[in-house]
Amino acid sequence: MAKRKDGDGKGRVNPGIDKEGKNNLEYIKNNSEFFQIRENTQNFDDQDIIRIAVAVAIKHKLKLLPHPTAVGSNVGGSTWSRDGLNTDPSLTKMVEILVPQEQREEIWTYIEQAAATGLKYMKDCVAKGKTLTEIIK
Amino acid sequence: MRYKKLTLENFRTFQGKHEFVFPDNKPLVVIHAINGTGKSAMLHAMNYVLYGEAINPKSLSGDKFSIKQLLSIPAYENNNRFFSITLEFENEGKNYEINRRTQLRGDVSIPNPEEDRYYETLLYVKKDGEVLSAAMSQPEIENLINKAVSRFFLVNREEIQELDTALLDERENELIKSEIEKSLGVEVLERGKNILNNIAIEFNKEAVKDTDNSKKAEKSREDYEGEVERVEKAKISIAELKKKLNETQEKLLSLEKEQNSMKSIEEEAAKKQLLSEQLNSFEKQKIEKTNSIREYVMKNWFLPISDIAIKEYENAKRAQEDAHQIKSKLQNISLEIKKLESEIKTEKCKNCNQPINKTQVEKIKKKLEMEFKSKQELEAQYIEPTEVFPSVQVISPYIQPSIDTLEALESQLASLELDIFTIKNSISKIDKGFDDSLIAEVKNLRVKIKQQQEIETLTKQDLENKEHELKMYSNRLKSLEKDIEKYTSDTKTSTKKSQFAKGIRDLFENAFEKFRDSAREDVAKLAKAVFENLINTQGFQIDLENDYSISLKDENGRNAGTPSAGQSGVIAISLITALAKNSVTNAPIIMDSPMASLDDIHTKKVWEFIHQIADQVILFVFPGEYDEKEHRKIIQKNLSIEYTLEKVGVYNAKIIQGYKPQLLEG
Repeated sequence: MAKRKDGDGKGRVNPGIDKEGKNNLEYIKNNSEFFQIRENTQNFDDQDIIRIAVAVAIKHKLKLLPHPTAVGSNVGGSTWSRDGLNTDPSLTKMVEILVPQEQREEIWTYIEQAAATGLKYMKDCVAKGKTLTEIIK
Repeated sequence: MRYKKLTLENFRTFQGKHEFVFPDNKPLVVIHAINGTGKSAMLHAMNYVLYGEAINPKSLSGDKFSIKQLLSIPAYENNNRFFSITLEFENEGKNYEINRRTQLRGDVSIPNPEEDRYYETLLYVKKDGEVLSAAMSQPEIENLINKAVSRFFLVNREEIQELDTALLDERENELIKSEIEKSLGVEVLERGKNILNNIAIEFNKEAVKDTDNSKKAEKSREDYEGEVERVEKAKISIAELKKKLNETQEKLLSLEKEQNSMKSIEEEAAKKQLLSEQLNSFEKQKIEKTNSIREYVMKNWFLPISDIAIKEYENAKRAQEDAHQIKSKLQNISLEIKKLESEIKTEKCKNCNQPINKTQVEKIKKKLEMEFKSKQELEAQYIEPTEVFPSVQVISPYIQPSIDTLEALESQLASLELDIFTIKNSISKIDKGFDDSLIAEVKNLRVKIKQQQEIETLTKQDLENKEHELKMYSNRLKSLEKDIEKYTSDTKTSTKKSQFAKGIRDLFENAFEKFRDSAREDVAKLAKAVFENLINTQGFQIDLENDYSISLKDENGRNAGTPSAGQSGVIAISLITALAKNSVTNAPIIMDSPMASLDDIHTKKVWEFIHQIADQVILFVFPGEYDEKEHRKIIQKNLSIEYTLEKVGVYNAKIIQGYKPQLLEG
């Protein structure tokens, strides 16, 4: 498989999740009322959940986990890149607006850390049976 | 019947009024006369008074005398142009008087009115002193002595001499036979027989109609039998249907009882059904709600930071407004500084253009200093909005979603989930009470009840139809019964009537035949007896045929050839006697010259016998028929009265009571 240039900056796809992140993502998808895949409806894809995880991390000002090393493997059949994550409205812009520069390092590093942190937080919430509002608010 | 008096006026030889009185004591009246004195005239007078006509015996064609011929010639010539005859008699205790008067009509003035049309005849009949109407008069006479039989009661000389010959003539025989039978009452009976025959024919017609009625009755009977069969079938069907209906209703009752006992189950099942439906609905709503939340979150993935973004947005906006405010103040201060600097320089008021004094200039200078100070302070506060981080334009895309909206959606979802939980809980409670097999049983029961109800409805409908059919058949049955009764009754009545009429007719016909034969036999027997009594030659006898024709037989019963004149006379007297004795008409017999053709021996025998032929016998005899010496003693004891007609002149005669032989000498 050809390596993508816009992966995690090191040529790996699926930036933002390492092995633990992958597990957290799987857990969320399998146990959450909202994120699980259903028939006859529009389903969340992995990139949506990761973006939400970034927002959740910013929202709750979570203490960021160390920068995850992208697993680089296909998770749940989907594959994304940094460009894929940075959809409209821009994820990077959001981080730039809401996270003071002094609180972050390089923006994508921050985003990937926030993603990993947010996924873990969401996984814990799902496990506790919290609602989406409770996760977000 | 007995004649009491005959009065003649201007009739034939009797010019003026002349009377014959017939006493009521003995049967025989003898009127002696020579030819031309009026013997026959009296017979004509009798015919005329009774029937209004007199037949000329000498006419071969049976012509009547004209009125002029009956009118006395001297009376006619003396312009007494009328004649009158009056007969008085008694019959069965009643007294009658018949007067027939023929006279010249009042409007006739010609000198010699000879034709009948110039005359009119008036009839006058009195019965027991009561005058009968014109319409009743002639019928009353005919009722007493029918004209058809008059020849046997008013017997002229020719009749006596030619009766046997006339009976041999086919045409004459028919007429005489008819008259004989009328005299014997056979005709009346024959008329009765014909009437009965007509009645029988009429009833037979009815009976023929009844054949149609019989056929109709038979047809009705067949229809009736068919209808009875249908009625029976309908009754059987109705009984079966009622049985089926009863069974169905019993089953239904039993099922309904069972249903009642399972009513609570049914209610629970219904409740569960309702709850399940609600559950389905809520589940569906939940999915929809979840999907809408998913879509909302998916579209607004930055939702978690939206409230932060909003705060940042508000801060940025406030900073921008503050900068604008400071900038505006700075502009105002700059303008004030410019104004103050100008006033100081020109020493004139900028507003009113009036000169200002030094004190005032000093004040302005101080104020200018303060303005500069304020300007400096504001300039220190001012930050250029474009430099504010983050800018409103940049942050605005992230403030759109609302967590409140999500919260509301989730709240609704939670409410749905609560409802679902409650329903599930209720269903669970119901499920604890019974299992699904009971519900199936209830359902099955309901199906069975519905089936039985359908059967009941159909059976009731069938029963109603059958009962309607039965009613219809029964009505037709009644109608057919009436038809049968009617046709049978009519048939019975008419057939009975017809049979009765036929029976009566046949009986009457039989009786009539017997009566006719018997009457003829009686007549024949009496005639033979009279003949045997009167005839002098032993061995001769007469035979009366069915048509009353008479033949002379010898002692061996062989035909003895044509009777002699004398034999014919005896035959006629015998037959007339027999007829008179057997006749239904009880009238006196008037005979003109009955013994004219007889020899002395036979004459004597007739004189000895003649009073017996009727209750009253009036004889016209000429001198050759009567011998005073020989016959007086024979008739004396039966003689009522005798008259002698005296010839007066050429045309007239006179009635003299008693036997006056001197007047009979020609």
